[in-house]
Amino acid sequence: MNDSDRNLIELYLEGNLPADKWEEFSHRLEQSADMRREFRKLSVLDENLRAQSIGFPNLAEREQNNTPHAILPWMISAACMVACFFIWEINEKNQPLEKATIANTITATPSEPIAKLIDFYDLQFKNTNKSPRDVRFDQGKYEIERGQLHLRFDDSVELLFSGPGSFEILNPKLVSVTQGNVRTIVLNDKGKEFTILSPTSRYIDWGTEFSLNISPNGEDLVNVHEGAIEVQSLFAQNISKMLTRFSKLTDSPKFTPVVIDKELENTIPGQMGGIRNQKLLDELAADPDVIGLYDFKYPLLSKDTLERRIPNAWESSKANMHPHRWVPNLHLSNTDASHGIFHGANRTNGRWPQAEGINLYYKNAHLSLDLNQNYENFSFAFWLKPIGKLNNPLNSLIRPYRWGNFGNLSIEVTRSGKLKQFLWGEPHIQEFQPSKGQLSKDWNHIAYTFGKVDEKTVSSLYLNGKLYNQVLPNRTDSIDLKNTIIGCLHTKHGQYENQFNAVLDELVLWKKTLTKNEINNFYSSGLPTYDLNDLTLASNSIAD
Amino acid sequence: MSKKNKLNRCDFLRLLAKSEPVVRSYLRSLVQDYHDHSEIMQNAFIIAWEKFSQFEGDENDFCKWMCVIARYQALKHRQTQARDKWVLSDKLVEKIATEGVNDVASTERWVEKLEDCLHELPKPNRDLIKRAYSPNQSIKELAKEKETTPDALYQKLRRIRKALAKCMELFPRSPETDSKPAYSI
Repeated sequence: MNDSDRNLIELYLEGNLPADKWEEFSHRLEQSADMRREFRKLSVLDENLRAQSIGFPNLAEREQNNTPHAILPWMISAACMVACFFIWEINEKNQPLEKATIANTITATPSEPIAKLIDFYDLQFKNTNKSPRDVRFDQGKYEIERGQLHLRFDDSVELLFSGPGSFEILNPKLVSVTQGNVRTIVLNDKGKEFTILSPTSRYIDWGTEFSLNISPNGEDLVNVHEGAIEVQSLFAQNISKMLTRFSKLTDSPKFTPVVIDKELENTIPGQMGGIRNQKLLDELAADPDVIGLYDFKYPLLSKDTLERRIPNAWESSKANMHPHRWVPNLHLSNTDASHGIFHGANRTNGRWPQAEGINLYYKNAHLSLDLNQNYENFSFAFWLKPIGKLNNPLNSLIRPYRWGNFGNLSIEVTRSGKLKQFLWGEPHIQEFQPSKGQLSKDWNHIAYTFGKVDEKTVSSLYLNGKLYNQVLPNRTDSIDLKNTIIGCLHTKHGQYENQFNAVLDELVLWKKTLTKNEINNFYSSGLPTYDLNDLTLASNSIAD
Repeated sequence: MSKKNKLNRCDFLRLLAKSEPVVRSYLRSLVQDYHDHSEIMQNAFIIAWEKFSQFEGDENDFCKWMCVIARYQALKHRQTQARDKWVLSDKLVEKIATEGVNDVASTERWVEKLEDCLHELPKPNRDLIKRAYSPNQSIKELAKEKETTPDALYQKLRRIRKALAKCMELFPRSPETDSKPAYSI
């Protein structure tokens, strides 16, 4: 090909081809296959020089700046995303295991990591046994074989991830997910515009809560629970769609493979702790020292089965009793303790997302249950959250229906929220009950133990895993709670008094004396790593 | 043998990443306007994504398949545009497009080779051509900065491009020839 033809091509590509040369250029190009080939080659050169001069920007920087280059072609960003994904996959195969699965800090910061570990359950990173507690969640890639992970970004965004899958933290506001289930919650205004990248789409959170399922086949499922999110395609520039919790399947964006799935419900905050706690309850259900286990969920047993273990106080009314009032004893083999029956109460949210407790709020509300014998060694524990005011000088937490025998135990809460224990026939113990703290407005763990310690009978009360007070009875050698009432006292005139308003959850009874350590361990293992009260959604102030 | 059942959406992304520079370059020979170019690329990718389940070739055919889609989109786009006197004729564009699809291998090789060629370019020339292609960079201003005339600068850039184009045609270098530059300007 001669220089003249090449010059024509150059002028054309520069946009400088004079009008009088146009016909010649067009004609020559049509006639000469060599010139067309050179034209294609110079087009390749021109296009790639342009792309190179713009540069393939660092993804994180581009997202951080959020200022697309004036003439940055959309496909470069798409190519960059796809290339990142591609390079990521290649790196996975080539890097040493530790580096490939858990990224070390790229931008080492001496202080806080980009994301804080809040909770995890059954979490296993791929190709390493490293504990999540030993991982610093900074910029980098994390590949998860199984389990769940809860991270918090900048005290403003909750990110819950369920494996198997992998994600990459690109910056405090940008996480790329290749596969896995994600739930994102923006807690406050600072967290707005938190973005999740899937291989095909970008999800911008405008102060809300949403679930995503990103599968390897490239189709994302999305469900907005609160507020609104913006979906953008990585393959298309300047096309986006806002999705809200009212969006239906038919509103799924056409420009990107995203499908709205109203059924999609990924892990929610507290759920990991709930699963962990459920495991603990399952173990207790098979523990031979446990005589009663109550999680307050709606009974799944038939009414006939429930009626066989009804508390005495309700024996005469059982025919008309609706099953929802039963609180089944879930222990698998021991039948020492009856099922419970509640009166004037209702089920409400328990300590965990899927858990239920009973709300002893209404007047005379209480729970009844029976134990069929006295116990020389005895313990119980439960969680409670006070509601309303403590109106009485003493508010009855647990006691027998009839107060009149050695072994009768009563635990009361003073108006200021302090705990007191009473044993029938042991008036002296009231003198020796120092007050160490009081009930808080949140969930409190209360435990009681009775039995011999170093040949002395000891009656101990614990609050939140720590010994609260301890007394030495003179005449009581066993605990008698045959007909128990929880939440108020029952007078000999048949009236209910000293109402204690609270929500109860996870009641456990043992026929042994738990040790200090056992109580503390039990309290700690049932404790949520994640405090549900931390959540203050910003979803009411979305997209100003 | 058809590998249709073996390629999934992940493969699509991988193949797309690999073929994107070639498709983009191919399209450049058909469409000169950058905005149109972007729009056509966008449509081509979306259509490829939608039709990927119908792709029956093996991985080596993907780039060609993408170019066919891009070609169709480019020709379709031309039909929607007002006819301009200074636009290549449909017949000519069709010819270039067909040749481009049939010779995807050359485009792939050019794209691959260009990176090496740029590295072999003397640094001042490399910097100059990158500056010239930078966004918002006017040749007039660059010429002023370099204390030359726009025409002289255009000439210089053409010489650099010519050298690069020559280099792009060279076969991959062997270790024996690796010690000396493949070309000079």
